[in-house]
Amino acid sequence: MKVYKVLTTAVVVSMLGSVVAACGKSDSASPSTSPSSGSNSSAPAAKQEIKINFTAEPPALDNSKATTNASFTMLNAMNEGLYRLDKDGKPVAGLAKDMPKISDDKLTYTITLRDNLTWSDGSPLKASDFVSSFQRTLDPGTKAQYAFMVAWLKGGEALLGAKTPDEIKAKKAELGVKAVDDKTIEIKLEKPVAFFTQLLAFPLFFPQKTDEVTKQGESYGKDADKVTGAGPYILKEWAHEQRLVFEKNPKYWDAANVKLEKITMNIVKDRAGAVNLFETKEADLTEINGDFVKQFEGKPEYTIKKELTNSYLMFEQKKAPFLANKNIRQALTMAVDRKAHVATVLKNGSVESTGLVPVGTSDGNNGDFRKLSGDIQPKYDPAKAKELLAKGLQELGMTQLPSFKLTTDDTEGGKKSLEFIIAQWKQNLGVTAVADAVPHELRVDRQHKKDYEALIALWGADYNDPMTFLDMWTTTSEFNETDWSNAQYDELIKKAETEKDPATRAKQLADAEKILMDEMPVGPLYFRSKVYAKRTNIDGLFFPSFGPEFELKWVSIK
Amino acid sequence: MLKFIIRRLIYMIITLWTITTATFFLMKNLPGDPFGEAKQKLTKAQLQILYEQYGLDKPLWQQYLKFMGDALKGDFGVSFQFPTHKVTEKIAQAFPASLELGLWALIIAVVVGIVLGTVAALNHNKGLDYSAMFTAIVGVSVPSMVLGPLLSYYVGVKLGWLPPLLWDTPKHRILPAITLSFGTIAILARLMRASMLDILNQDFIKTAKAKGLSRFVTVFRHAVRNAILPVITALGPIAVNLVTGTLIVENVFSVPGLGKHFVQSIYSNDYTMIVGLTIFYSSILIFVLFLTDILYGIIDPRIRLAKGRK
Repeated sequence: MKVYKVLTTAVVVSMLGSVVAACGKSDSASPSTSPSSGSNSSAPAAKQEIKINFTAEPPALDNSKATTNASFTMLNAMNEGLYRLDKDGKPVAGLAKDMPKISDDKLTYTITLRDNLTWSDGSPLKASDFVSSFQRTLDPGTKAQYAFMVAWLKGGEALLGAKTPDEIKAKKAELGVKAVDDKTIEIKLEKPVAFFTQLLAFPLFFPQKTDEVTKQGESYGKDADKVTGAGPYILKEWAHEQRLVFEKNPKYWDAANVKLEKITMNIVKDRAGAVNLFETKEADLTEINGDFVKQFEGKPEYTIKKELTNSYLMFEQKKAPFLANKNIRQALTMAVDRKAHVATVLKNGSVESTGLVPVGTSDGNNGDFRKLSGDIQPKYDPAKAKELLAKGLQELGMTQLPSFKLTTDDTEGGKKSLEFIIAQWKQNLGVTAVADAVPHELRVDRQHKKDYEALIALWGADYNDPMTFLDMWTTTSEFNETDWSNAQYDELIKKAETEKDPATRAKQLADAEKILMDEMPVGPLYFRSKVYAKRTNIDGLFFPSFGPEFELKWVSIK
Repeated sequence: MLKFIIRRLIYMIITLWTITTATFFLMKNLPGDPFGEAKQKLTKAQLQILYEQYGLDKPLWQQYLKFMGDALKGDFGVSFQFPTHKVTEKIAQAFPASLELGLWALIIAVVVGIVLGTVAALNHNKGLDYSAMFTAIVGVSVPSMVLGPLLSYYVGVKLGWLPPLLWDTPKHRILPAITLSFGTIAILARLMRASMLDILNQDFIKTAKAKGLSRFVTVFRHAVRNAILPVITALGPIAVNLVTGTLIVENVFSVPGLGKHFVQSIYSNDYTMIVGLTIFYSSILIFVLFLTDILYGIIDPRIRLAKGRK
């Protein structure tokens, strides 16, 4: 009993002690006199260091398993493919010495590596490191979610679908990639891919240090010390969910043109927090959105990143049969003031759509597809939209459009867009639609199952070519989740898929887009952009329109 | 005591199994699958390959048995969101930051809450009582999603006294810990006040005063010691809540903790992560409740005696 008394008293006394101590501590820790920590404000401008806020932790720094732009961005800083995209999105020689030699049938690419290439640890980088990387991505055991991109290779799909270890081994041997010698790679494709050279700059096509992959096994790419690159920077530290620190790679083949000595990427998800860090000079580059955009508008730090991502209305023609009427689809698309939508709802630098394929998409013939195709989407015109609706209703023998659901993601932006579009339809057409905001996963699932009436979707490019936005609307495409079908459109896409002359192919794709804008199975809304705050002394940074978030190789601090 | 502990352990295992099983089947009822972004780009055949690779093509009962078999070996599988990480590794990575933040918040909350509650009770219906309770009400009323950004902006950016966010030095811990402790301070202060008022009116306190014991001894040796029992009872679940991560505070201050994973794993249908976190969270909660019971026995001999009689 006494023991308990003593114990209890001790508990109470120690608690009291902690009260006093805590009070004392908080007094002594009174921070009013301490300067803000680690501020860079007085650093000389020539210090080649940069701090960046990044919105997400990279899920994996294993280029076989990478699926998010966080992973692509980090991998692109620490490693390199045969090619790297320059600020115009054109492939320039990376680990390859020069452009590929392409056979006449456009199926075989022969590529020579630069001399004396090494990994950042000094060990030699060989052609076989590319071969083993491609094979590993397509090996079913790797469970690579983006393997479909590497499956363009001859025998890629077959390897992906292999079931037994023996079959996997056999299919790997048959895969269309060979190391002719230590410096020569030969890639064979299943069918011509007009943009394949550009695709080789994508992280999925980076080499892997073969012996390291073998040694690390499942852990490859999990931590800073479990992945080696051959890119401009070395990953020195990776405090998960917190920060990644890169330093210049002195063994990089082009180290002479790499100016930055250190890059710190802090993982910051909160938009207000990101701005706070920028304000306190703890970040030199940060994405901003929502109401913060206004704060930076007109300032020299305000920077727009155009993306190859479009957003559009989808109309499911079997679920809501009245949406099978072209005039009604045209009316619903035309009745949305797209300019007001980007200016008042999105406020993130996005621009109104002028077709389905976003601005900045190459036409596959060294030109800009949007310029070639022109502004072919009908302008916002409530009066004309009303006429089209009346015409459509007459064709269907209806007096008014039944109420239907408009589905999209339940993100802040998604919900605002829903409200805006539904209000526009009500106001301009007298049409009633019901808002249906659901979690992203559920939206994707419903879209996949065609379990929706109308839906707002987003599509980001996998490569810089109009095909990534257009081939999905053919009758047989699994990504055509609208039940729309058009033989002429199918024919044009089919021709373009095998057309060897880039100019003819670009024309075919432009014609296909015109059919889409006339038929309107999907009603484009906007081409997405992001807004960044970027210090004015940062030079040479640019934003690729797909894949990595930004390109850091050529960055310097003025 | 040993019998009591063994019985409690058996209950704990049954509870844990029930929670895990329920979570497993409920989670499988979530619409969609864990392949989020990639799913938009994959054909049905490619998706089928992925399902096969992850064993998601098997009947549900087979998936369940395989999962339970692995879980018993301590293997919850690989996270779908972080394909190079096992779930246990992801939890091990994120938990220390949440634990540290939670412990700081808990210390602040316990100290300030108990002091506020005691002061309020001792000055019942006087100015100090009203101001202490007003502070507590403000604490309960202002959510961390408001307080966090305000502190981050004014203390971090405007005044420059402390780092506005990130998780590097001890200084970086202060603002998130204060934000996280705010609501708990209020709960504990009100609980302590009510409990103290109840105890102060008991006969044994009057006896202590009549015996001529000093106010200090009366309050701390007799009143606080008894009044703190309900606080300790509440402290178990509160502590678990604080140390297992909080989405809002961790987001606002960019703390690399567990909080976001609870929400994110559900949003992205990361099956392995959902179950792993559920087991982790439940285990901690069950264990803390168990500890609370034992601590109770130590502080209040009557409880111990009652258990002994059983």
